[in-house]
Amino acid sequence: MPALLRRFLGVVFVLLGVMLLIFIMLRIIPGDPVSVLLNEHVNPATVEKMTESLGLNKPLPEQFFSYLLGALKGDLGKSYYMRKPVTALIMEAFPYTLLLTVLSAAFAWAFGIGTGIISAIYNNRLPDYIFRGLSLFGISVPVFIVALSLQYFIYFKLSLLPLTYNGSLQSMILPAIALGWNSAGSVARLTRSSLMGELEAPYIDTARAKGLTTRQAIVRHGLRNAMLPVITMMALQLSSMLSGAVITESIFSISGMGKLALTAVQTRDMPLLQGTVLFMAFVISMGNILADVINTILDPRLRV
Amino acid sequence: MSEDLLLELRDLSVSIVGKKETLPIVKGIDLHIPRGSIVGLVGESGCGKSMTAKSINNILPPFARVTGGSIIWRTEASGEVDLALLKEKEMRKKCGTEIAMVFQEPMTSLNPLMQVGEQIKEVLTIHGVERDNKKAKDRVIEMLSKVGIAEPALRYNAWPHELSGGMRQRVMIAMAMICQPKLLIADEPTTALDVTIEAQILSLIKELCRNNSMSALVITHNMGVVSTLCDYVYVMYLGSVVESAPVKELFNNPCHPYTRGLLSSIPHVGDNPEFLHTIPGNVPDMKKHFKGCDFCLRCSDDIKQCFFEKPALTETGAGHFVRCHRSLGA
Repeated sequence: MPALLRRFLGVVFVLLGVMLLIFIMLRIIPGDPVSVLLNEHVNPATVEKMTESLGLNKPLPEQFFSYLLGALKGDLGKSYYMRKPVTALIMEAFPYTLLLTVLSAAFAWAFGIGTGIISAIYNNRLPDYIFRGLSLFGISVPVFIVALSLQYFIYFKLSLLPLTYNGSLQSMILPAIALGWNSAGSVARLTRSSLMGELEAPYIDTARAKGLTTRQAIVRHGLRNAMLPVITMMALQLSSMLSGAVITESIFSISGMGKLALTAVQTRDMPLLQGTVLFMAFVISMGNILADVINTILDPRLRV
Repeated sequence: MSEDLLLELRDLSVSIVGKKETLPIVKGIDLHIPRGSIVGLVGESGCGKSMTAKSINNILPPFARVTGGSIIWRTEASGEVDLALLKEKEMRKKCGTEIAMVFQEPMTSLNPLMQVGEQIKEVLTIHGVERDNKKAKDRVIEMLSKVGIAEPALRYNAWPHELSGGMRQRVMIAMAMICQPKLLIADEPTTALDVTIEAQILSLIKELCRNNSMSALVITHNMGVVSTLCDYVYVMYLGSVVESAPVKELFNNPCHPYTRGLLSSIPHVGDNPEFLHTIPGNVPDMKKHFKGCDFCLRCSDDIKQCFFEKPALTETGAGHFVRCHRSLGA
């Protein structure tokens, strides 16, 4: 698998690039971390001392390379604001994001693929209109509206599920639906169009001519072909969910990756922000590789 | 005579059914396939020959439907059955076991995500012919070698994209033949193949028909294919049969001007390379109703009657039917 090895090497370069970019950007934007950490009207000597202790007085290349060396050893520095190692903070936050992602992907894909198939089979008939409308709704309604509506109806009106995340699995259901809503819509639409394209393929005629009913032909032959683009999309969705859902996590107060990144931005916590961005870049690159690997397993034409 | 007929299309009509109007694409054709013979169905693109074929095993696209006539299927086991009235489930039981089909495009007619051997084996498993996996696989490998595939055990695991067009068409034929059907429908089986492969595939089909006393319906627009393969030929134009005759009779004594046009359109080595014979004009719009002969606007032989009256299909010689006012001595 030298192809896979090449992909991983590519990831290393992507991560290096991301690291450099975020490093430079954080130093260009106005507002320096020391003045955020210390209150106004402090002694200039204190500011200087703080700057020195954070290593911000050193030349930029030196700062970058010492960060890089640390990152290679798994040390992403220490959060200015929370006074803890960034790696530890990420490891604390990631399980919450992981749980949210798994639940919301399960919801989005089961719903999206299921309704997409029904839409394709009942093309231009009532079930198709219903599910197509729903999926359009899914794509176009922003996540915060979905989240707030869910809280309003399910918690406030019906009091079925908790308002925010409290550690129990039930309290993760609303966030999972809110986050999965958009994905479900786009998966449903892609499944529908992809399957409809495959249903016109000559091999479906072949399957029927050898004695499969239309339904068997769809399930055994059409679906597998139709799922190829959908799987690519799902892998990309998975990695974007895993890298943190800022809005969903904030609304339901889940202390996951999105919340961590948001805090880092608000407090000008440079090491923490660098760490979370780097981690997100890593997860997204891995998602891309995963999509390719799955497609290669499913589609013999991609194997060399 | 009719007991010898395996398949008989009686006044079969197929139409594209839309919300507002229905558009007839096959207009009441009669077609007979005697046991053990190879029948050709010839015509230009869009004349309805593929639709006729697909109506037999009901794999018509969703927008097309059989709107009239019957498809009589005669076997010793089940007697006389009208396939047009059969329920989907009953129809599928016959597909693959009694009626098999080979398609025009071997490139896309195989599922790209399934090994070719598995695709052939599916015919056996779906009909419950061979439940034992090992035996089914052996049968597939045996069939692959019968259709002339070298190293069949190795090719069993090949993916469709690893095979050439000719090989894929052999796989399609193996898939069609594995249950020893009584009728093979070949819808332009060699159109996508180059000429040397075409000859191989045609002789393979002919040999398989002879050895298994199988009948075949061969759909083509290639008169060369007809002459090498068929016993009897139907010539279709705009959804109707315009001439039908035993193959030798048709080539020696073509009566309909359309058939003559098709025959003289075959280029021969030694002909003037600057000139290629064609039939002038295009296939007319099916939406327009015309009370005269459908071919009269392209015909070089037309008489006044052709514009006002549709000619009937009439027997002019032994087994030779023509739909033309001229050939009836008018």
